Amino acid sequence: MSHAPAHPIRKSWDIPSTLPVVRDLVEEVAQLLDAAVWGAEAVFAVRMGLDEAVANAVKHGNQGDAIKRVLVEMALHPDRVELKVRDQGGGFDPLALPDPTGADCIGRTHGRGVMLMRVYMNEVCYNWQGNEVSMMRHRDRGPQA
Amino acid sequence: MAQAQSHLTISEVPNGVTRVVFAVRNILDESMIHQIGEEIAGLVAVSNNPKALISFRGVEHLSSTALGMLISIKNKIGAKGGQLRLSDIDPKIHEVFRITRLDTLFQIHADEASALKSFR
Repeated sequence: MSHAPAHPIRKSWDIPSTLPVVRDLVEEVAQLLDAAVWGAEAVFAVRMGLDEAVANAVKHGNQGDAIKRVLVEMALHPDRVELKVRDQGGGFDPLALPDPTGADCIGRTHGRGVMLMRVYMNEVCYNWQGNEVSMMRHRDRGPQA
Repeated sequence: MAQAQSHLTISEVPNGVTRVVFAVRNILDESMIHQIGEEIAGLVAVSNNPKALISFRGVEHLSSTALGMLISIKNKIGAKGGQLRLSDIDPKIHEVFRITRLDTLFQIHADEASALKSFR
């Protein structure tokens, strides 16, 4: 008999743009996945993708303005988790980001977050404005690297 | 003002190497990462050609900000003619280094013993 719920577990968070809150949110999602008996590699992947997405929303999207909010929605299905992160910033063009593994970027101290999201989540897409990212990670499927 | 609690265990080992071990499982929190970076930079600053070994024993997660902090430390050590080695990296975290190609930037060793042998 499976312990997986038949219907998705839905949760949403409306958080200020402060980084300690990001840590608590990521930990809460990881605990939900642990409770659903997700494997360590999949939990690691979701933590990576979600931490980078919410940290980007706080730091770059809302530029650390604690008055601005970050909205996070989660739908935890038996076979996958869907996550949406939206900030109140002006957005950005994810296609314009340089390859952080390129020779001219490899030594930079920043610019790897979006790449890690793409690798560790199975799907990553942005809205037209670039201030909302939707991500999906299968429970049993490894990273695409 | 009380000094912030360190997230590192620091010791001197033979051959003038400073051994740094993370005392936390997750290197995700930005303020913690900043503090760790400042603490290691302080160690580097007082040495002429610093030799540092950073052990990841027990570390389970890190963020891209933590990777940036490590690059900054590497640059500081390199600017003083020093050497940096990383060791005991969990396979899942090693995969992060591989994906970002930072395994080509850092000298990564399986364990402390092989890292210590590699210092010149």
